[in-house]
Amino acid sequence: MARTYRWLLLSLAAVILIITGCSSSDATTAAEDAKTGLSKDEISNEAFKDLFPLQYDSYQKNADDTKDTKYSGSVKRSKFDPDKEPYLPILFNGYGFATDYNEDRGHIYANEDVRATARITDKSIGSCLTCKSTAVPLMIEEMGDDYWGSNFNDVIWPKAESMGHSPIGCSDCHDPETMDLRITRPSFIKGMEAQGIDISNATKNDMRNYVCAQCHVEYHFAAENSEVTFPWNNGFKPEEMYQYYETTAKENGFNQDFIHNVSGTPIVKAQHPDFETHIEGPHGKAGVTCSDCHMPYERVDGKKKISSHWWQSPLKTMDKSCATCHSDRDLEDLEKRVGEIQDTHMAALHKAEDISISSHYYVNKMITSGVSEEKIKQAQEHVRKGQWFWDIIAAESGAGFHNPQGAMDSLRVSSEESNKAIQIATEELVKKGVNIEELKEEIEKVKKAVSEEKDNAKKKVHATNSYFPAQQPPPK
Amino acid sequence: MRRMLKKLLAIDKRLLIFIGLFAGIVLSVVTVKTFAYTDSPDFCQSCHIMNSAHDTFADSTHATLACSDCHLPHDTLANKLVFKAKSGLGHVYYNTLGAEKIPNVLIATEGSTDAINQNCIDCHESTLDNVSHDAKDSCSSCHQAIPHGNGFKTEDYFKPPKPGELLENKGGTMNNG
Repeated sequence: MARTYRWLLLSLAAVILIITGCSSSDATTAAEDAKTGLSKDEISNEAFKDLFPLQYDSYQKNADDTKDTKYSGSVKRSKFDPDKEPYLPILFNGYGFATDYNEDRGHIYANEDVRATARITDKSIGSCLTCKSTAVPLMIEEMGDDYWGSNFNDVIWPKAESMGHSPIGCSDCHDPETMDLRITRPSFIKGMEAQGIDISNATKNDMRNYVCAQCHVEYHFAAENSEVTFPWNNGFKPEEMYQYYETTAKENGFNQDFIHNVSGTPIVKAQHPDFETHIEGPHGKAGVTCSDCHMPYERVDGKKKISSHWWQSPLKTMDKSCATCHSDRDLEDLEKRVGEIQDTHMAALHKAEDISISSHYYVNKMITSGVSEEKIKQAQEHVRKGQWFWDIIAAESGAGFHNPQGAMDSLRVSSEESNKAIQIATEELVKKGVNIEELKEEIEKVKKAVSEEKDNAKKKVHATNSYFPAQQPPPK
Repeated sequence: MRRMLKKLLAIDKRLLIFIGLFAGIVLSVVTVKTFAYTDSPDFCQSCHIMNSAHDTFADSTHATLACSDCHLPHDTLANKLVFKAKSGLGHVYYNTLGAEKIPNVLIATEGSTDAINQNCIDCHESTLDNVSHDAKDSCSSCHQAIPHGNGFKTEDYFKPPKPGELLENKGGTMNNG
């Protein structure tokens, strides 16, 4: 009898425990006062390891560099590969991107890969480390504006190492004391201010874009102090950023990133405008954020969810990234739809690049045929614009998905502009008696020579020859 | 034992009938109430994993219904109870021993989808009679936001972040984020 009672009591206790265990803990620990115990200046990813094992383990998965998607992914491969964009050594001829340009691996490789790229030379500056190392915010705080222009190899890299830095990590987006999301790169704050957006009142949703937008954006190095500067005064669209480069940037002394070696055109090189493209696209306009798709909520500890810290293509996590909202759709159908968008996009991009290549060579022929300076300049204006409008699309990471229609619009402008340059050139070259058919054949020969060269670093050499002599002024 | 039975038989038969009747009423009321309770949003919500499903439902135009009104078949009582028992057992398993196997995103099973669709049709029959509705094969192909449409982004997302929230939720949370 006593035994039966004991069992009864035990099961009663178990039920009570389960109920109390399940009930929501209304007595929230005074969350605002909770602290990690870490220093406010902590920059080592490993310091967070024991406190945040779930997130740290998720972050470590960024080391997987073996899986590609059709157009992107996490494998370090040359962008010059035949199935990527084999003519970039022509299009960026005269700039570092014609020598070495790779698909990016995960954030965890940021420091390793910035050290390895041939684009970093003895002349490179601090600005080049801005989005790679967790030491950068402290360095900016300490060095002020001297950080941007200081020598990369001699000053900045050794200093970051001595500070015990990590590749893009915890402290870049989180306050180490409270783990609240934060902005650590001043360029972003200035860029938003220039557009009149006050980020101090950002919502949780906004912050889920903004932490990424510190780096996944278009920028240039300011003429005055080499500071990383975002061209956002007029807006986020390609045409609005181009307007900035044609006005504000020029007024501030920034005219180009490089002089093109084929056409002698001053070119602005575009950089990964992932945030700008997304925010103007269908998902961005609907209030979807970077984190929603690239850091989907996942169950890692039984029933509980955390945000994935494994940043990769959502095509690899469609069950979480897409199905959270599109729960009524068949994922295979959705994947096909994304594939169709990207296929169309890449075909249009390659076409726009192709017309741009021709425009560079037509202008080269103008120069060697003695066409007037004025007409050459006029054509170069169109070449510059044409290149910007495909490059701002090519540099973007979503292969068109972040804003399909916006990308098409930009590629349309690009093709129009490149064709205008070709039209002006053709009119002038015909007057000079140049054989246009021969010119076209020579362009095809050059393209063939570039794509047939196996050594990626040497591809750029074939972009110019005796028919198309190099136009870049010798380095000072 | 035998003595107890003897005692029981000794009681006035009319009283016995009365007690039996009373017990029967109590039992059936308890049963009905139990079934109703286990159909109700309150009960379903008592498992944390249903938090966001419940919150979005409570905000919707269907908030006065019970979960089971949409999520269980209603063609026959037997069918409903069998379906309910099967789902219930599955849910008990996933919320206890099978917690590791819960998918990241909860999506209606095929059986569920069919039952839900039929329930839409049963209530909205006159709409279907008045307006042609033959373009898609299920109601949710178009009306996917009903009633759980605002499931992902709660209004918290559109307010400034709560200080300390991420630190507090470092071990994960039952909701998204």
